[in-house]
Amino acid sequence: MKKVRKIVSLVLLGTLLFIAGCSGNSSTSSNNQSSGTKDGSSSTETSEPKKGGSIAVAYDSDVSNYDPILGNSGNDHSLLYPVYDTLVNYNNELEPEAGLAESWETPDEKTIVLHLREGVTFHDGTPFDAEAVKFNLDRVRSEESNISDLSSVDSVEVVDPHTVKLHLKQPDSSIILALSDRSGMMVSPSAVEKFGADYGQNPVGAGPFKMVNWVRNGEIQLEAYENYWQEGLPYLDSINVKIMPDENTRLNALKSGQVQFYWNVSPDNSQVLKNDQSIALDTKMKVAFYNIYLNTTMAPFDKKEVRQAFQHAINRESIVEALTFREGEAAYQAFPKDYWASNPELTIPYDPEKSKELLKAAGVENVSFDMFVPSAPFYMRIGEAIKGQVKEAGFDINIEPMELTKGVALYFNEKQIPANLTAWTGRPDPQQTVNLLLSGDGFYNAGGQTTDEIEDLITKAASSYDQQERAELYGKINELTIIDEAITVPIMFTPSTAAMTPNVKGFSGTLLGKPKFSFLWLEE
Amino acid sequence: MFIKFLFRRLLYVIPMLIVTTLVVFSLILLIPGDPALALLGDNATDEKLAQLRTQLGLDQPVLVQYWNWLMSAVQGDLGRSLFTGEYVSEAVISRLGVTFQVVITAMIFSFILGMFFAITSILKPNSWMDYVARFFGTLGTAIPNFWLAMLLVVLFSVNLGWLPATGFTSVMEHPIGFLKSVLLPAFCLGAFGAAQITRQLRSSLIEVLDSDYIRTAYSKGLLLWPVIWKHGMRNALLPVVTTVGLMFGNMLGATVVIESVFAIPGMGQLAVNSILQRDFPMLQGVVLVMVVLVLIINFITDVLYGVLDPRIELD
Repeated sequence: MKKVRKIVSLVLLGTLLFIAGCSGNSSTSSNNQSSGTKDGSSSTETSEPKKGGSIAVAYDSDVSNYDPILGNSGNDHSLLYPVYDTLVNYNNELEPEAGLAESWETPDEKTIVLHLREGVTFHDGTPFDAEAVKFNLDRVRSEESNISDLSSVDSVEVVDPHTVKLHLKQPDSSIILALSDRSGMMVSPSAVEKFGADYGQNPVGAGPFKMVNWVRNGEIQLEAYENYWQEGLPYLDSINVKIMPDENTRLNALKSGQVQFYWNVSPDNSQVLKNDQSIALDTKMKVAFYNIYLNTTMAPFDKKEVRQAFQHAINRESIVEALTFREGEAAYQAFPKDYWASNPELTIPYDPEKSKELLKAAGVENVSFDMFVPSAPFYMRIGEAIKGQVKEAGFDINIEPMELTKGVALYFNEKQIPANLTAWTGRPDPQQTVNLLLSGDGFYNAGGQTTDEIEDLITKAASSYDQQERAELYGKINELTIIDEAITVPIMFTPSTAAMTPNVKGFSGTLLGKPKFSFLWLEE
Repeated sequence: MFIKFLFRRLLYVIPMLIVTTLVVFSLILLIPGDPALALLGDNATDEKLAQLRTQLGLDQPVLVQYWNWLMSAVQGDLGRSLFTGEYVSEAVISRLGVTFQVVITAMIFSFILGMFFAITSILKPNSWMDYVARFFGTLGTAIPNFWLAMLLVVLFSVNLGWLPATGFTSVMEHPIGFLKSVLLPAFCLGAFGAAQITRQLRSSLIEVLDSDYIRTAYSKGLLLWPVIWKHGMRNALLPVVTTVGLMFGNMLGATVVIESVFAIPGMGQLAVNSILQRDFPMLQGVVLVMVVLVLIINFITDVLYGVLDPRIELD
C-alpha cells in the first residue's frame, strides 16, 4: 500500500514537473534578433516612428511618492520622467544634454546660469518660466524636501523671464546633472498651491504625459499631453504602467500579451528570452554595482591591511562568469568601463597569497566577521560565492541574511555590523557618487575613512566644470579610496535588461539604468 | 431570545477589537527598522531624523501613540500613508473591494468543490470515486498555492491564452472580465479550502450516515438522496461551518501571496508593501480591517451554529 502511494505520488509529481517544463521552453526557436542590442540602440533601426496607439508596461515597483521632493526610492524615476520634464537631460552615456534649460554656462565656479526654453507649459496651463524654476529649486532646498543634491546652492535669482542664476556657497560640478534627477523635475507651482498636502496624489508637470489615474500598487495611466513642447512627441496616445513586483508575473504578462514591455529581466531569464523570436531584449550596462560596504571603525576593518587583503581575496571575474552568464563586469572602481568618469587602468587582481601577506603584516591570521546580506536569492548567491572564495586567504564570513530595510538600518544608522553586501544604486553625476560613497562625510562611507589628499581631490573635482579634467580626478580618487584605502569593496556591475514585443520601438537603455518609456512607438 | 443572543455576541466583539488592535500596534512597532529612516534614506542626518520622528509622533510612548491612533480611528480617521500621503481609509476601502471579490469567489469554489468531492466519496466508500476525492483532498492541502498559481498561469494564460495572466477587473465594471480575471486566483486560493471541506465533510458525513436515526430513515423507506440532504447534511455541516469560518481568515492571509503572483491590487499587496516600507499607519489600517472582517465572520459562524443546531443554548 505504502509503495503504491509512493509510486502514484512520484508519477503525479513527474506530470506536474513535465507541465512546468513544457511551458518554460515552449518557444525554443532558432536564432534570434536581439544580438545587436548590447549597445542599447536595438529597436530604433529602419522605419520612421509612427504616431498613435498605446502600450502596457510592466514595472517592478510603484512610485513611493509622485511629488519629486518627497519620494525616496531610486525606482521612482522611470515613472516620474513621463510626467515631469527635467531642466537638464542626460544621454545614454550619462552626459548632460539640453532639457527645459536650453543651455547653461558657468561664468565663474560659484555661479551657474540657466537659459530656459520658451513656450513650455505645465499640464494645467501654467507657463513654465524663470519664476517657476525658482519656485521649484527653492522647494527642493526647503525643509520639507527629501533631496540634498542642491545643498551647495545659496540662492536662486530670476534674471529675466527666461534666465535663472544659481549662486553657490561653494563650487559644485554635480549640480548640472543633479538637475536631470529629482531636483530638476519641474512641478507646476499653481498645482502645488492648489493641492497642498494632496499634491502627491495630483501631480502636474511639463512632461509628455499626464497622470490620469493611479491605483496604488496596481496601475498608473498616463495620457499624452497635447501641448507638449516638443513638436510631434510623444508618439503614443497613452501608456498604462502595471505594477508587478514578481518577475515571473511580468514575464507571464508579456508572454500572454497583457503587456508589451517589461523592465528588469534577470540574467537567468535573459538567457532564455534571447532565443525567443517573439521577444526583443535591450541590454545596457549601468552605473550601479554590487558592493560590500565596510565600516572602517569596526574590527576587523579598522586595519587598512585587512581591508586591502579582503579586496584581493575576491575573484570578481569568476563571480561575473558564474552568476551573470558573463553579462556583468567585474568592478574595481565605482564606475563601469563605458562611463566617461571611469579610469581604464584600475584593477584589483585576485591574489589570495597577497591577501595572506597583508593579513600577516597586520598581525592577524584568521579573520572572522559578520556580513549583512539581504535575504533575496541573488544577493545570497553572491554572498555565498564570496564567502567561499575568501576562505583561502583566511577570511571567515558569517553571513547574516536580513530583510533589506532592517539590515540597512543596522549597518548605516545603528552601525552594529561591520560589513554589508548590498549595492550602490548609481547617481547621474560622478561627483554625487564620490560625495556620498567615497568622501569622509559621505552617508555611505559609514566609518568616515578618508585622507587629506582624497578630500582635496574631491573638492577639486567639485570645482571643475570640464569633463576631461573631472574624469582624471575621479580616476585618481577611485585609486586612492578603493585600491589604497580600500574603504569599500565593489564586486560587479550588471546590466539592466528590458524585454518587449518586437513591434515596440524607440527604446534604448541608459547608463543610469532607469528606463525612459516616454518616446516609445509602435510599428504596425 | 435570539436578538439577545445576537446582542451579546456583538458585545464580545468590542473587547476583542481593542485587544487585537493593541497587540497589532505593539507588534508593528517591534518590526526592526524605523519609518523615519526608511523615509529619509541617505538624507538621514540626526537632526532630520529627530525632527521627522517628532512630526510623525514616533517619539511618544507606545501607549500614547496607540491612544491617539484609537481616538482618531473611532472617528473614522485612520491617518495618512507616510509615503504616498493618501488617506489610509480610502486606500484600504478601495483594496478591500478587490480582495473581497477574490476571497468570496474562492470561498464559493471551495464550498462547491468540497461538497462535490465529499459526497462522491461517501456514495461508495473505498471505490475509485472515493480514492479520487481523497486524492484531491490531500493534493489541495499539500500543494503550495503560489506554485499551483504559477503552473496554472503558464498553462492557461501563456500557453493556451484563455485567461489573463495578471490583473483584476471588478464585477461592477465588467462581469465577464471579472470572471476571467478571478478564475485562476480564486481557484488557487480556494484549492486548500476545497480540500479541507472535502476531508472534513467526508468524515463527518460517514459518521452521521452511520448513526441510528439514518438507519431509521432508510427503514422508513426514504431514498438515498433525501437521506443525505435532509438528515445527513444538516448534521454533518456543523464542523464544516467552523472550518469555513477559519478558512476565511486563512484566505485573507493567503491573498498576500496570490495577489502578488497575479498582480492584483488588493489588501495583500498593500499589506506587504506597507511592511517593506515601514508605512505603519497604512499597515495598521490594513490589519484593522482584516481583523474586523475575521471577527464578523466569526460572529456569523456563531450565529449559524445556533441556526443549524437548535440544541445549542442561546443564552
